[in-house]
Amino acid sequence: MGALYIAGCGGTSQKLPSQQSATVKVASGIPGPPATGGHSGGSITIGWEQEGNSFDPAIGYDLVSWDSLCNCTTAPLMIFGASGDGPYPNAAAALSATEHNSVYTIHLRPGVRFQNGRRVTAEDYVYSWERLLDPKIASWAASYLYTIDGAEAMFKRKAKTVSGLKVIDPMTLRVQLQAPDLTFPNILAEPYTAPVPREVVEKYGTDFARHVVSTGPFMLTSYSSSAQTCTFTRNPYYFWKGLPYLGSVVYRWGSSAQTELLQLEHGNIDSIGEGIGPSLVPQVYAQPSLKKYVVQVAVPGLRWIGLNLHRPPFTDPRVRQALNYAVNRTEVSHIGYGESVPWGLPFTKSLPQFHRVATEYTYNPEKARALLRAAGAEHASFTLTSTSDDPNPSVAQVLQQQFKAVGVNMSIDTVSDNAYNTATENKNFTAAPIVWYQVQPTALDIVSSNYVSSGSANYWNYSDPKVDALAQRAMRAPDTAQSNVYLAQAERLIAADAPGIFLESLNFIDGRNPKLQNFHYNVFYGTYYDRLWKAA
Amino acid sequence: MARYLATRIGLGVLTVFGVVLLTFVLMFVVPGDPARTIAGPRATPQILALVRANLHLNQSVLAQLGHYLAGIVHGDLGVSYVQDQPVAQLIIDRLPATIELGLAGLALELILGGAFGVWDGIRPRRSRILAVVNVGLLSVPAFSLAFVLLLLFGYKLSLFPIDGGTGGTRIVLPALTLGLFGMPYYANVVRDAMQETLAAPYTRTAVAKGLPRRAVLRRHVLRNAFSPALTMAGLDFAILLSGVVFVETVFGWPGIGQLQTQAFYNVDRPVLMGTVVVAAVLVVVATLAIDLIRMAIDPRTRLETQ
Amino acid sequence: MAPVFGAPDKIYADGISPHGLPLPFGSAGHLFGTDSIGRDMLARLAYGGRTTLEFTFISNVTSIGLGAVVGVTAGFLRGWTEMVLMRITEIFLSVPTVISGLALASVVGEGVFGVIVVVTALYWAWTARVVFGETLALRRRTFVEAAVAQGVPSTTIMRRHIVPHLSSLLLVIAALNGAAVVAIGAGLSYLGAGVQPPTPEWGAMINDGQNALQYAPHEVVEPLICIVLTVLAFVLIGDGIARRGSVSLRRSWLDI
Repeated sequence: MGALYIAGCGGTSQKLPSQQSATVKVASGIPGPPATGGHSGGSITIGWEQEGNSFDPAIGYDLVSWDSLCNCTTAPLMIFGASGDGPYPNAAAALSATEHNSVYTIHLRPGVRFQNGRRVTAEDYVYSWERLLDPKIASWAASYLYTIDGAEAMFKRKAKTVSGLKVIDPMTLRVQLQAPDLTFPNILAEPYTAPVPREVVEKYGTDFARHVVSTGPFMLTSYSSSAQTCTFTRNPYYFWKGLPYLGSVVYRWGSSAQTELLQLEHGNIDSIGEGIGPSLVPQVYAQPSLKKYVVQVAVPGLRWIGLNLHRPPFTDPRVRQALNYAVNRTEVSHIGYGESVPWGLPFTKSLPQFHRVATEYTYNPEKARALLRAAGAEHASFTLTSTSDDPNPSVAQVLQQQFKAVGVNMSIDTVSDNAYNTATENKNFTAAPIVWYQVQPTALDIVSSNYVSSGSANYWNYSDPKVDALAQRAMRAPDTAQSNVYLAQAERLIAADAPGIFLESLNFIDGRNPKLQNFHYNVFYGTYYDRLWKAA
Repeated sequence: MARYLATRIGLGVLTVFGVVLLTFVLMFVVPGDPARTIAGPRATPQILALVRANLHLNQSVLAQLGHYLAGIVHGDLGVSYVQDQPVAQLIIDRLPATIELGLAGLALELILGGAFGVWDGIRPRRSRILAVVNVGLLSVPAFSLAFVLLLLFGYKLSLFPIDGGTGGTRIVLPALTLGLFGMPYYANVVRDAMQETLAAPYTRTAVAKGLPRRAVLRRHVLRNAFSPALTMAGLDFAILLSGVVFVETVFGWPGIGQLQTQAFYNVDRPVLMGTVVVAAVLVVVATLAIDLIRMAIDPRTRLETQ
Repeated sequence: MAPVFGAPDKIYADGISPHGLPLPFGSAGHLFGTDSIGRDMLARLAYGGRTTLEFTFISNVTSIGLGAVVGVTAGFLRGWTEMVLMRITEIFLSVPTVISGLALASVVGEGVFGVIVVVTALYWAWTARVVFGETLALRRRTFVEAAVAQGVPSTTIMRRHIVPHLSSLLLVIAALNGAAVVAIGAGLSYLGAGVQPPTPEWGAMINDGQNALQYAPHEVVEPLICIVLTVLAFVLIGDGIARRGSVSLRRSWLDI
């Protein structure tokens, strides 16, 4: 049995006769939204509040860096579609899976070059992935490669190379996984697995972040920390011929969110990188002339209140369920209208090929009171450890009143972001708001981080052997449909156990110049700059 | 004079050392894990531990302090945890813009505060309108004041750029914000000093000698009235060099305030320490310079050096 | 006065529009409008005054008191005392408030007490520096020099001759600090110290309203006016006291 893939952009799925039981993804045209009809030239400016942490694909993770990697500098082997569908072959010509998804063969696309003009070969991928696993680099993404045989050994300094990577020929790479993993193609669609040229990395050392070279549509040509700006220029070697249209993409950072909104309207910037924050959204409705600047995109993100299951009153599942019924999610979503929609389940709202079996929590104060009474917690009280990040203070105060209505007293302790991180990491909190953006089109992204016993973001002391087993089966499942059957069961268990007060599903509210043509927003990557052009 | 200078410089070094010590300790009191901001929310505990080890964060605080002080003595401010750049370079890059805005802001504070202070000081009763304006300006958060100015003169009237820009007029609004923000302090101090000097015996002597009103004001009153304002300006310079982050973000001004604040939120300790050390040195230098200027214009204070 | 204005924490379902817009000033039922989550502004302003005044007044007294003691002592005794005290003052002036404030905030915890401690720590040095300068000047005045020559004890000179002359200066500082302290206190409530939501407090209300400055300016303007009027009242009272106090009564020789 091989994994079932959908190939290309509305393309075909075909079986190669030579590779028994292999399902292959073959590229057919540029994946994602239409990429024709644009005219070349022009420049756009993106405004950001802060400087990115690093443009090195192995290090960068914040919003600014992620945007630069996903939409400018890198072009990974695979790529997700705009709504999170896929992944489809991109810098790969084809990808095939054998041995129940435990061996993947990657055929590189001919003619892919680095931004310095050199051809990319399979060796470059081996170098780049081993770099990711170099303990001296300490990349945050290293653990995502552990699925490859021998990767973890290299990260733990037990091996000099990764045994599971095998160069068949300059254009073919074979990857042996530790166990069947259906999500491996997703990893290939992440920018950290994009290739970087050894000669450039070695030339610049730690300064590589400011001289990054990869295969993406735009290349970093200038970076000034003191002038708070950097420029990405059109890559003439980009492998999708005719793209990108724009001559350059400019980043400018260091202005407040409110100033950015004014700059957008005045034409000083073409897009607000972080989008329009919840407490600024009402401005759009108060000032109708702003409406044409705003685009709303549903993203696979969630906001919920995480609960510490080892602390009273949340040791009792009935109290946790009660609070889920006590929340009037419609009222909560009124704060920062449009930034969120009510959603009372632990997994994101729209998951491809996912058939839910869990029942969504809805507002039911009578049920909440009954559950509290049954738990003997009619007058329960607890403290919410929150931050001042928009819209946390507002959400917290609305919840406070809603819980009060069912007799539960929640006090709010607002702390700095750093103190919040320390508190959650050490599990030294009772309840804390959390936002999670999925970066893969599968609920495994949420489950394996938040709800599996050993999950890196499992601050909740949540541990259910059944959920752990379902997550592993979902990863080793032969295809997405089967994987999702397991995940749907996991969601039902988690929802019933209620390790969180599930609140809302998130939207991204983008502010962009209406002159931008062929504007498309990818739910994982951000704006497609490669197929964008600007009307005169 | 040489001995006075030597003593002052020696004391200055002592102050800077104290600031380094205090800030270093405070940094470890504030909760925060640099590894978390370097590696982000998805890093596993294992990766976080590795990041900490790579940065020698598993050493004791005392060892880290010793390491840092040894670096400072050799003129090495370390390397940014997040940006991986030499801290000295990051600061030097931003120093010109910071000093430019600091000086412009200081000048406006002194001019506005001085003018209103003198005007109010000469009047027999203090102006109620000025009191209202002063209290109002003090109560408005710096961010709101800056944003209102930007909204009015940048966005509505389009008189000044709203994206920082590169033209000569870009400094007007941020400097004006600082000027308005500091004006009440100076107006009050100058007014107070004016009333004191007007009541002083030497003013009586000057008036009795039959000097014209303007001459009395210029030669005796103003000189002495601005002396305390100058002391304050020295202190103020420190605030302008490290605490104008709100003004910087509203106007997109690339100053040290943003560097420092972002370093604070990122738990980027080397950058944070670097900005503190540089600010402390500048405070010491500015205070000394102000005292020297004051001695030149106010003969009374010369006694202090003896 | 509280019950007259209704509950300050109550969220009114019709308090914000479906688009998240609060009710403006002058709305029926909510004369002063509502805030960003639909609470009555008038009720919050009425309740917020007490908390605001409480911590502003106390922390003003403590910070100025400490600063004055340090400044006078250093300025009058000079020598080693001055050296040590003024070095400490300078260090406090040089450590950026964002660091010292946050460090203290994370230690003292929430509540009015936390605000008082942090504000005192942040502000005393400023007062000390100004008072120190003034004391140096006073020390050279004839009446002080005469007292020193007669062998009057230092503490007596400080109490009888120095401090009374500083009273008008201290009142000026207090008036200036008053407004600034409100802003600092509000900033602290975001960092785990200070007054925590939903307790209404004027400074925090201004902070909360900053993002709404364009679409709901009343959220900032109303508490701002409350603060300005209150501080102004204190300024005028201070003025009155200064005018009555014989020491501070000054005449301008220019206007004779």
